[in-house]
Parts: sequence; C-alpha cells; structure tokens
Amino acid sequence: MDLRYSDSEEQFRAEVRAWLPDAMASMPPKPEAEDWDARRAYDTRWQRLLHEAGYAGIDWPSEFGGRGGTPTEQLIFLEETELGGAPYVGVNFVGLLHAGPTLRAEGSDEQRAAHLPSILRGDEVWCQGFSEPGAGSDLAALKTRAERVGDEYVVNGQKIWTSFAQVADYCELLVRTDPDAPKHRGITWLICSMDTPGIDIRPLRTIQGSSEFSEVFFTDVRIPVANRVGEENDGWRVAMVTFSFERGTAFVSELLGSMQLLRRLIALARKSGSWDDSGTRRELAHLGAELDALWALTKRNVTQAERTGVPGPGGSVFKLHYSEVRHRMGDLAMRLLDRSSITLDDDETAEHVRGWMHAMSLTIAAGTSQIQRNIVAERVLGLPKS
Amino acid sequence: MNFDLGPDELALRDGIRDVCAKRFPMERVRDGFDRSMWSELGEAGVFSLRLPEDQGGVGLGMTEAAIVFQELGRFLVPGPLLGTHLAAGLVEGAASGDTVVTITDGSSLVPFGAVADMALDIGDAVSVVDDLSGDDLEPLDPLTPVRAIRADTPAARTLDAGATRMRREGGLLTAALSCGIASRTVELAVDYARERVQFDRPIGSFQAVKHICADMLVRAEVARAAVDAAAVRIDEGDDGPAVISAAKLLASEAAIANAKSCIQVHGGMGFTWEVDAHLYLKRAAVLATQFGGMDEQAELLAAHV
Repeated sequence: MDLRYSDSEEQFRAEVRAWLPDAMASMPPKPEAEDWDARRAYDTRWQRLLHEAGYAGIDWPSEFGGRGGTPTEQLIFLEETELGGAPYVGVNFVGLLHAGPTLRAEGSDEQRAAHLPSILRGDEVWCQGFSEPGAGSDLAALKTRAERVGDEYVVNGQKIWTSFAQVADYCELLVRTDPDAPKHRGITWLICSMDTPGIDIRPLRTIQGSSEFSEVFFTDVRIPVANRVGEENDGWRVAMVTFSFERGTAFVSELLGSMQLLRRLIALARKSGSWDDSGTRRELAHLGAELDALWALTKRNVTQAERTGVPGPGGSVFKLHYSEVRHRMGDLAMRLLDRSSITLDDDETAEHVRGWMHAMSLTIAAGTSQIQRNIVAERVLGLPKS
Repeated sequence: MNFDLGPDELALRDGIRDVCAKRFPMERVRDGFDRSMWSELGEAGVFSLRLPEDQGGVGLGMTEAAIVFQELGRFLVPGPLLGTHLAAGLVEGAASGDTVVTITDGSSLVPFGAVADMALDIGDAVSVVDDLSGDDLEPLDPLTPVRAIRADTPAARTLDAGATRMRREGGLLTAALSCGIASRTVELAVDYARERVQFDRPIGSFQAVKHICADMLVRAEVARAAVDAAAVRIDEGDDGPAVISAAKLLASEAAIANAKSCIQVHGGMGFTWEVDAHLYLKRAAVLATQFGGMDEQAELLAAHV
C-alpha cells in the first residue's frame, strides 16, 4: 500500500501543471449562469482544448480516441485542474461520464465511431432521459413508451431532471418497449437526437434559481432502431452499466472544491472572531478531517477501479458520506454567517449560502441517500431484499 | 499510487486474523488478560513487528502495524497491547511478551496497572515507571482493569526514545484498534439482522434496520481509509501531526457509533451482559481516551489548519 505517485505519474502531473496556465489564459471570460448557449460554447471550447492537448478521456482506451491512461492519471488531472481553478466538465458531463462510457462498454462499432470521438472533441453534448415524474427512485417504473414501427421506434412520454437538455445534441433515453413484461425486463436504452421533431423542452427552476434541469416531452418522436444500445428489453442492464460509471471519479472535483470552500469558511471564521470559540474551531477542524478521509477513500476507490476495470461499491460509500459532510458543512456555515446569510449579494458569504443549498441536491441526485443505503445494505452487506 | 491492501498485506492480515481466531475466541477473551496471551502474541511477532531484523524483530513499518492492530481490535484482545509494542527494543522482554508493559500518560488512572510489570510514561520524555502500586477501581470495560496509582510515583529511569514520535505512533495504533472495532461490529450487526426473525421475516429485510447497517459500513470504511492513509504517510515520511489526529478522531467516533448501533440492532438482547456488543462499546470508549481524547484531537487539528 502506498500513496506515493510513481515517477511517470509525477511526470504526468508536471506536464499538466505546465500546460494549464496558458490554456486557461486562452479562454474567454466565464459566461452568465443562465446564458445556456454561451455556457455550451464555453464548456465545449474547453473540452476541445483538452482534446488538442491529449487530455480528453484520459482513462479511455486509445482505440476510442482516449489517452489510454490510468484512473490514477485521471485523478491527478482532476486534482491539478481543480487546484488551478480550471473550468469544470460542465455541459459535457453526461457525454463524458455517462453516455460515453456506456457506449464504450455496450455500444456497437458504428455507434462508438459515430459518437465517442465527437464527445471527446466537445462537438457533441449529451443529456440524460432516465427519470420520469412517476419514476424517480423507482426508475424501473418508467412509462415513456416506444413502439416499434418498421425500422423505427415511435416514442411518447415525459422525462424529468434532464440536465442541459436545452443545449444537448443527443439524449441517452430509457423507454418501455414491452409494457407486459415485468418492469425491469421491458426497458430499452436508445440514442435520441435532440433535433428530432416532437421533442418539447420546458426548463425547471431549482432552489438555487438555476434552470439547469428541464422536463422533456416526447410526442411521436421517431428514433431509428439502429440507435438502440444493447438488445431490445435489455435496457435495465445497460442502465446499470451507466450508473456504475456515474459513481466512479465523478465526485473528485466536487470533493476538492469542498476542501477549498472549507478553507475559505475557516478564513471567514478567523476574520469574524468565531474561530476563537473552541466548539466552532473543533467543528471546522473536524469537517476538514472528514474531507481528508474522503480524499483517502477516493484514492482507495481509484486503486480498486484500476485493478478491476470497473468502479466498485466504494462509490456508494463515498457518496453517502460526502453528501452528509456537505450538509454538516452547510449548516455550520449558515450558523456562522448568521444575519449575513439572508442576502446573496456579497460573494464572500454567498458562496457558503449557495453551498448550503447545493448540499440538498447531493443527498438526492444520482440516487437518494435512502436508495444508496439500500444498495450498500443489499449488494455490499448481503442483507435480504425488502 | 496504490492505496489498497496488496498481496503481502492481505497475507499479513489473514495470517494475524487466523492466529486471533484460533487463540482468542470470545470465551477466552471474556476471561480477561493473562500472561500466556502475551507469550503467544510475542511469538506471533505482534510486539517485535517494527523492530529491525538485526534486533530480533520482523522489520515491518507502520502500514503493516496498523493492519495487525486493526485485527487485534476486531478480536477485542485484552491487555496493554500498545505499551508492550512501543516498549519493544527499549525494555527487556517486551518484544517477546515476557515483560508486560502498560502506559501512563499523565493520568493517575492506569489501564492494566494491576497486571503490568511496569509502565511507559510518555510525557516530555519517555521514562519507565516500575512502581505501579495503588488502588484497583471498578472498570467501565470489564476486560480493561483500572488502577489508580499514587500521584507522586517517581519514574525509575528515562529511555532514549522520542516522546513525540512515540505519542503519535501510539495514537495511530490506538486508532487502528478502534477501526477494528468499527469493522467487526458491522459484521456482528449484519449477521444478527439476517438471522433474527420478527413479523415473519429477517429484521435485516426492513429498511429501518438496513439503513443502520449501511451507515455503519460507511463509518467503518471512512475511518479505515483515514487510518491506513495516516500509517502509509508515516512510513513515507510525509506525516504531519494533523494526519494522526484526524485518524484518531474519526476512528474513535466510528468505533463508538458502530458499537452503539450494534447494540441497537440486537434490540433487548444487545443490552444484556451475555451478548458481546457491550464489550465492543466499552472498549471503544476506553480507547477513545488513550493518547488524547476526541476534543483534544479536534483542538490539535484546529491548531494545524
């Protein structure tokens, strides 16, 4: 067991560090949060820069246009870019962390060739059409219907929580192809082009005021059968593959960002004098210890992924604890900010108020904490199904 | 970077687990410390683990010691494990387990004061206290006897050992013992939840119980990552005091919280003397006070932020 990076890993880190400042300097100013066209342009421009420098899909195999590197190199890259304040994965999230890895594992040669290089180049933005109003935690209850007519599926239904739908080119879409089969056995995974006629996007507003999520309505949307990933009615298994990638290194930037946020909260506490209170001081230090332990756990998960080739159950353990720690951190921040927490005007304090709101999404998105606990209890601890 | 147990480390873990399973079944552990345990542990290399081979030791590092101590924690092996391990190479007979060495750290309440031959006193310097006479008190943990030694007990001699380093190694290995408790109590709770039937089904099929067990695993795994990382960083010479304090704090909390949850999952039986769950809780509480309690660790962390 060791935490030392090898010479070649350190070499890789040095290359990233040397490359980063000029790359960042070549980027235009960050767009407004609600200007989605500008955000797409910004995020995909960054992705194109990564691609040109050989940093797109670091742990993707080279046959699919990736760098063919290791999960550890991916970790190093995320660490360096986060510490350097580089742009986030942004609208490229679904393509790089969900759809891309799923196509790599389950797609046909044609599907891989059509999409993987474009995702890595930042030419293609994806969104996720999994959840529905009646299918949240019980995802397999989804009702969006796809009827086969000749060599097309005709899709009718509604999806929800679709991030970046308004700027996406493609949607990873789960549909019901057999309404008579048991619910897990009648689902199919489709690639849906977002410019197909019959798609209506209605943005939702989150508690943070952002319109990142949308509801997406499908009315007689015709999708070629060639866009099916995996077999008809085998989409649940394919979706499980998608989820295993979602719980991999997806939270690394989040975690490193939280460490920096905590440092700034501690600086605020010192300035305001609340650091002089031993209870407050200990609580802040304690949160730092939790985040450091989560960083160690991340390294453990990456090591295991490197050995087995797929992210293991450590991802659920990580997500459960990380989201809990962020709630504690947010609650403490609100207590420390006291009256100054009631406005979002001052950037120095508002980021902590926003962080407090953001924590609410962490225990819900990508599997609620309750669902995660079921997963850990049943699949890791082997407790009987409810 | 390779932050998971490798083949040698797994073999070490399984080896010591095997020794403990054979030598320290709960029936024996419940009888408390006896000297024959110390020779057996000495023979297994528990005390001489980090002594160089030319001094008759095994020549391993903190990483391996932390793995071994997690196992000793899992089996609730009774006795002054830390004192004797830290004294190996400094006090004659400690490495082999012939001499039983406990620890005083400024407090007059000395665990195993009644059965130890001597104590290491870790203050500004490390010294040996030979005279452990005093009054035996009613212990919280029935397997950790406590003696109140006289406050003016003089140190017999000062040892050539760094007190800071020893305190940190002791703190980390105490955290490793706690970590073992945190992991073992998950297994005990899960085993019971699978067997115990109420409302015509195993209680482990109820989400209310499942979620307790899942939270236990999360605590145990987070603490284990912190403890392993701190041990590796000591070996790599990249450790600050905060690393040890963080490991100690999280492991103490995980052990106590998991032992409590283990009692909860066992229901009424969990509150009986007969079921082992209380022994894990009481040991966890004792370990939390060793080498600096939880508030002290948090304060230390704050000082290094």
